[in-house]
Amino acid sequence: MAEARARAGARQEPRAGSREESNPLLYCALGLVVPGLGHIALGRRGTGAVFLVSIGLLFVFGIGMEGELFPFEAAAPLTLLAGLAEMGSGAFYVAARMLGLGAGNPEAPTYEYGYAFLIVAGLLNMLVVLDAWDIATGAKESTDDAASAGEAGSAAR
Amino acid sequence: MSHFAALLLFAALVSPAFACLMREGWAARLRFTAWAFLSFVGFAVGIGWIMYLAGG
Repeated sequence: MAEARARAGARQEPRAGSREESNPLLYCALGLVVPGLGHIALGRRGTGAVFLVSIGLLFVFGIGMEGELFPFEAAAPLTLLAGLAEMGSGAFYVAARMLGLGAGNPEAPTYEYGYAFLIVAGLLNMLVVLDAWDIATGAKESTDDAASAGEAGSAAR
Repeated sequence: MSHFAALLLFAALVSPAFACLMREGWAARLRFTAWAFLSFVGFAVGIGWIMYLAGG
């Protein structure tokens, strides 16, 4: 029992001399700017790639469905929250704003789906950033992608 | 794009991300992705039928 506790405690400590120890905020910032980049910087390339593709496609399809990037209107709290959620997509959000995309077309049949995709993309990336924080601080057990790939390979065999 | 196609697309994109957040190891993630995808679609279709039947 005590040994198990000690093992669990040891697992939650950042590994001495590891890059996770350097600065968790850096990985969070990377992940917030480009979805999945924090995980890639932490050495979990496969996981980061999945996040980048999933969140990127959610955002792109959201724009394609004529979803709206909501403005920040203090008078409309729900719109404000939706806008903040969409901002979570980081570089995708900035690029869309710079390109003048995301005006939204409420008359389009896919308008509601579009902004739902955009909001989910942003919120999902916020979860991904928190996950990067957990990995960088040692709060989440970190198994690198190479080990995971090996595990998948052995399971397939 | 039909509503059902949008549902399938949403489920297909969100499921792998949830799997990577909640599971370690690619085999477990693959199983979770399949489970989450089927759950998304199954619950949406089920709730759709309930609304259809309840609405007369």
